[in-house]
Amino acid sequence: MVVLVCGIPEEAPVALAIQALERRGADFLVIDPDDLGDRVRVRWSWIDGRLRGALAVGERVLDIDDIGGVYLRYLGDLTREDDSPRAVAARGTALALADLFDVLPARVVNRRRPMASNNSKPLQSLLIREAGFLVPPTLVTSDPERVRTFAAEHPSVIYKSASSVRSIVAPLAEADRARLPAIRGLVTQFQAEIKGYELRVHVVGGATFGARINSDRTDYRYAASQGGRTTMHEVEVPRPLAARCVALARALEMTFVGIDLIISDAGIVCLEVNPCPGYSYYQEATGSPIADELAAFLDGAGVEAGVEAPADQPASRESLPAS
Amino acid sequence: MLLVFEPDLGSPLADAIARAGERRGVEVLRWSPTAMVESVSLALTIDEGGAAVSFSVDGRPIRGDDLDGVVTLIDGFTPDLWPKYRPRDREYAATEALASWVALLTALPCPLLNPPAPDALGGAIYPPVEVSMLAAKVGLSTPSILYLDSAASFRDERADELRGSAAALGHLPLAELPLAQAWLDEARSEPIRIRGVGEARIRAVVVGDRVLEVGDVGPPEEIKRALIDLHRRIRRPLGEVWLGRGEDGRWLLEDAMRWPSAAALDYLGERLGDAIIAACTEGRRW
Repeated sequence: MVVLVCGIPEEAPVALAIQALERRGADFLVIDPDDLGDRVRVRWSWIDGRLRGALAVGERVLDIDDIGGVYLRYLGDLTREDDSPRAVAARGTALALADLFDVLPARVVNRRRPMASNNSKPLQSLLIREAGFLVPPTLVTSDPERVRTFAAEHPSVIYKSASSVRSIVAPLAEADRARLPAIRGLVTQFQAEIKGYELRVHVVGGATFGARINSDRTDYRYAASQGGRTTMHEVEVPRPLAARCVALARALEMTFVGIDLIISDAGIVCLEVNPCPGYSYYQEATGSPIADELAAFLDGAGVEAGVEAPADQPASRESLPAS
Repeated sequence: MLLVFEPDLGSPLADAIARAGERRGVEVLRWSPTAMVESVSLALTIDEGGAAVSFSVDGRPIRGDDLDGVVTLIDGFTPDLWPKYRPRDREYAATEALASWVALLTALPCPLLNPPAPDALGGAIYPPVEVSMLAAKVGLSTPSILYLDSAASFRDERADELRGSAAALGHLPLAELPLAQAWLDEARSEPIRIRGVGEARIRAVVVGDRVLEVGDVGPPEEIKRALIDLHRRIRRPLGEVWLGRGEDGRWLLEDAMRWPSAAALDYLGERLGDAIIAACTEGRRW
């Protein structure tokens, strides 16, 4: 079986996946978005309940039945306005591939529809809560008075985007409160800030990798640019929590995710599930072999996501150090 | 109380729902995207106790529990609803508003026609092939679909391929081969759906557990049951379907749309509004 890697080869998560596939001697092809207009061809059909088709990447031609795994990192900007023949061809090929990956019976990491749950962070909070995790107390509102009440109920409140548009998580400071009437026209998401340390768990099929993060800034990703500092090291994810994380990924219909947790005195709180994780940042800092596990999973090996999380058991802090 | 989101106040389907509400003694509130941005104050809270939704419009408080149902005939918000913002901020505002309302609607305990998807308030949008695969699971046949890349240099090959496909399809005639031929001449990126031929198309509207025939002829009961099952699976309890017959007599699901068309409303008249109100007030979630 063949593994497809869709993305820019030089981008770190893609580059690490390619290196890992090479190490294990896997049969794989890279679909670079830059090549979609000329080097990649796809044609497939759904006829009488059966998928049939072929994919050509350069000189290599595959039957789609031979595709065993797909790492769907990036297929190009499908919304870009460019009517050149090459761009039109690239968009057509990308759409044909994207629709194929939605239905192809292969290990697709991840399919489009489940990934969309991250387009609404409060929606994802509802789904995470249903899956048995605590979530931060959250208020999504266009009512300044509700924010003032919420802020009075919690020692510290942060605000961040409700959509998948990246924003820097920021604390609601006194100066911000004077600007609250501005939310009347634009509903905004606020959350109680949870004190504790951050734990990033990557789930790959049924395997988990933990990274403990220490930072002196609210949003550790931007600590350096804000004059702060972030460090991280690998931690083993306790088995009950690992099972809960795998179950959460499965509940969201994904097999490769990055789960952001806070280990607080009150318990384990889930902030977010990243459907297309930039895992290289964590692998490079912790040495966790995430890319190797991803390559194994795509290649039909790896740990299956078959571990059932006990439904009546809350996410446990067992074996994790206190905050 | 029923809440209807409509593109502009006065849309015909929302009018029909409002009239049905009057007949049945159900209050119907109608909000356009403009009202949702300018007049409605809202709050969604998520905490250990669960999720709660509340609105306030013109000083009148409405709790999520007060609602019998929500009918959503819009998909989202356009940036021009925030004219005072900078252009880039308008796009962001529209995206944020959609993300917030998706969660807010999902948290409501009442029936939703249709439940929102992360990128569309009015219900999930599927590529045709995904609908076809789900349709097959409930025993419905669908037209064949061809996906061909669109690089101009491959046109001649495509012509051969289409001819080959026509032969391979056997009993399923290429009723829309001219469409495919047109595609060969002007590169298209859309998938080509090969429709069945034979009897005229039949339309029907699915509303929860009901199928309303749009015309004098409707599908048989087993097809109606399959349509209801399909709409449950795609989480779209409100929609319109077009059916055709293959030459071998098979029923083919040719298209599944999220909202009833104007033609369906014209034909069904007050029955459509009544069915929507009934689907909401029966309290069932899909």
